[in-house]
Amino acid sequence: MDIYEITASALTAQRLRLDTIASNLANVNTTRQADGTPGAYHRRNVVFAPLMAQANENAGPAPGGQIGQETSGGSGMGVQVLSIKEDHETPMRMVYSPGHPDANKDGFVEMPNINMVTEMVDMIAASRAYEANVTAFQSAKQMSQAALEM
Amino acid sequence: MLNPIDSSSFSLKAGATFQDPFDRVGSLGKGADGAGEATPGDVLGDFSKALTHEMDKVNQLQATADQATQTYATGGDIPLHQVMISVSKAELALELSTEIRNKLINAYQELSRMQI
Repeated sequence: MDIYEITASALTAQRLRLDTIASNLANVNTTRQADGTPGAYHRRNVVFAPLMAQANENAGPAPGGQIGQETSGGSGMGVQVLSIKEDHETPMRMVYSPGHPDANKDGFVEMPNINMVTEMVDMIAASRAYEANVTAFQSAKQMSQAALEM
Repeated sequence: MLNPIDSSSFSLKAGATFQDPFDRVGSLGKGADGAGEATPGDVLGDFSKALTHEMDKVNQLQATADQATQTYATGGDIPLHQVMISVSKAELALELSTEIRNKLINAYQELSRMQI
């Protein structure tokens, strides 16, 4: 994969991670499922995996070989989002609120297992990772433009 | 694209995957196509075809960038970074073809300055 594809996949992945964090923050008090059935919202995590380029016969020697492949082949790996998994490990919050429509017989409502502080920190990390990939792209662009001035 | 320092890249190797238009010009000079002497007509024809091919690729990148911008502007389902990457690629390809044009013109002027 060339640098542009790698960076594009990284930006898409971080964007999706940010979307997931945003949906976690939006659903911090959600006690029903999307179709209205009872069941609190579980915190969601994205699962990333490296993305190998499609195997093709152009992937001969590594870049820096005598032909200097810049746009074909290459040894970089992008990132893909394998799945968005719900977190069933962290315990749910039980809040005492007998008047709530979804309270159980003891008066407790099961609230989502979302910690605001953790989500905010993850959001900052995702946005910094996005900026880091944009910087990598700009560096690659500057390298190409420097090469054009030869 | 062009690697004048390493002259071994000018010869056609078995299974060569590099699409360099100047590769064919170099190999014609060495008679690798088996025809012996290459006539000027052969070289010019191949070169203009190669140049047209490369210009088509640059045009393709421009068209992709236009398409991406239009899709984004009308609220389509394309992330913003994808638009910017397409536009950057098109810009880089255009700058490259401008530089190649400059180099060709310089080379031609160099040749025309040669004293007989």
